[in-house]
Amino acid sequence: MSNNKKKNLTPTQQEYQALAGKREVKRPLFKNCIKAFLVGGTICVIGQLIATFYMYFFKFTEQNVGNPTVATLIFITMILTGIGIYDHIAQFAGAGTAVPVTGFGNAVISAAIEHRTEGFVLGVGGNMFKLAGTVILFGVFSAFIVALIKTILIQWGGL
Amino acid sequence: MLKLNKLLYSIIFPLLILSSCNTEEDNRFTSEDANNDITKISNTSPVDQSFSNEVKDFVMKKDEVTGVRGVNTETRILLAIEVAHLSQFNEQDHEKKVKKELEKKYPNKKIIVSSDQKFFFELDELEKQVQNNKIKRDELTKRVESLEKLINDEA
Repeated sequence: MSNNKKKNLTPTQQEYQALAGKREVKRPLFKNCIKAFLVGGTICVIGQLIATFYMYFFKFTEQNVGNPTVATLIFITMILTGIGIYDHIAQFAGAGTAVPVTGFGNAVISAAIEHRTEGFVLGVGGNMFKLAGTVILFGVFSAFIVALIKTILIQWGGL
Repeated sequence: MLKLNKLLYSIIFPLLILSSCNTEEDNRFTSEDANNDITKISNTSPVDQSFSNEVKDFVMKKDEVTGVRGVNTETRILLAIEVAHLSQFNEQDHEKKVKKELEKKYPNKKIIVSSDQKFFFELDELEKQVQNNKIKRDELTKRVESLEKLINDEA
């Protein structure tokens, strides 16, 4: 809570805040970071394996191997989320599983599962991209901005 | 956890098995040094590869290049370079630099240089085939042309 808000509290409330602060379980921040690093790194290694696999056996170059790799990773996560394994990994690793592209697959499917009881059209269809929609929106928007800047720099900046 | 193990195995094992079954006998001269990963093809192959061997030697002398594969036909040479790990950020610059220098040195040949890992794999396989005389002259030309197309493919 910000300091500004604390000033408006009554003395009893302030006392309570101090007590709560003391009793609060400290988050193991460093441990969480290590876990996220290790699990996130493992996901990236799997991604690199898949990318190399596609390059070795199919006609993909380093330039365009990203597309099938991302699709495969998301597909694997979706299956893992559906059968309930990804939840356990995410519980353990936190941001390590949310930041890579696998977090996107998880966000889509978990929302679909959650709203399944509301019907297929309004429930699953309407809520599937509740969480992942922001990723798509801001992803497309930032890509547009970056492309715009690049175009301007190349056209008029002489890069 | 058991379920997780099973699933991981079902993903990783097929990958391992698939990656180990595509082999061609390797009769080339190969260097053991990981930082100077160069191979040479003997001159008994259908298209004389002494030119590509010479170019490979020249490119390998550069500090930032750690590996090179290449095959030449009568008119052109296809070269795949592997750049040192930290230099990979400006991989494309190195690629262009090497290409420019080679074009200056060998003005009458068409030179195609790529730092893409895909071409390293492909040319490695092609080199083995050339060394073992498994590929005919016009087949080689066709393969080189199709690889050239793949390099220029933007999508």
